[in-house]
Amino acid sequence: MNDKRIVVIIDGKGAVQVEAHGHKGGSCKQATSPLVKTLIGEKGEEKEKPEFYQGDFKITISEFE
Amino acid sequence: MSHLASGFCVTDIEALALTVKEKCPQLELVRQKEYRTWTTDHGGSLVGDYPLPGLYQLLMVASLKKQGVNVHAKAEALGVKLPNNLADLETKSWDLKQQRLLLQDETFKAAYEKICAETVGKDAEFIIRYKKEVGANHAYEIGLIPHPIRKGEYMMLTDFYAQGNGLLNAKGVGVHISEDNSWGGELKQAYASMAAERAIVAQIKSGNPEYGRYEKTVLSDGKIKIEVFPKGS
Repeated sequence: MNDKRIVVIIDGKGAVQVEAHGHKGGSCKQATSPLVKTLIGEKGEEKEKPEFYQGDFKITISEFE
Repeated sequence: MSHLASGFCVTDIEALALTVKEKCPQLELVRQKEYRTWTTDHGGSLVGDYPLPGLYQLLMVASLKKQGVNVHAKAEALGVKLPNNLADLETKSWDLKQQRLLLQDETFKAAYEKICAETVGKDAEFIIRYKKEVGANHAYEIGLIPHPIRKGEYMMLTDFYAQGNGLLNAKGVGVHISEDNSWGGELKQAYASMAAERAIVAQIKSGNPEYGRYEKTVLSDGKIKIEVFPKGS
């Protein structure tokens, strides 16, 4: 099942979080880039979650775990 | 989740204009350089009960550095450690206590007074203000200041003294909250939501496979959640 999605959360003070779900490797940055550029700009704090460092073969393994 | 980015900035002026039109019926966004603050009414000086916004701290020390002043050494002698990369002042600004220490020095004081008199309130590209017919003649205004380094980004600034002399009490803006020094929460949230939807629609139209459709919901705590699903999902 494909559970890829991008989630934008905007709190009551205008603070924005952009999250990529279900993406592996650098594809998450590529996917969120248009929204990050628009809503957060260049200075946004970015964090890579553990999935960022997973290669394609690990994606296959994790999908069957 | 594999990637998370957070923050706030204005990049879509059209989205902000639409937001003001929809959510703030007493206000208007216009192209104008000067926006009213305390300094406008008080001969170009600030009260000094809050530190300068980070953007102005950066401009202040950058102007001194251009004049050949060793700002790091000078600040350190006063007990204030400036970040190695002065551009970091924008996000890691000095606090009021540190500002008071810096202003004991005549060079820093002169630069501070110069920036208050010549730049603060005079450097906007667009402003948000009460419509004339509302008659809020003493209200301050919100300035949209082009970022000096990052092209296309705007800083949203206002003087929140006395709720911006009434500006922040306007429908759809959001008052200053002293606990965390935030202001304009309603306007910022509505703008971010509008800008996000416009960016998503543009990506859908351009054929980006990551952007097929989206759903927007308001959560029970007032946060807005927008989920974007890839094409074919």
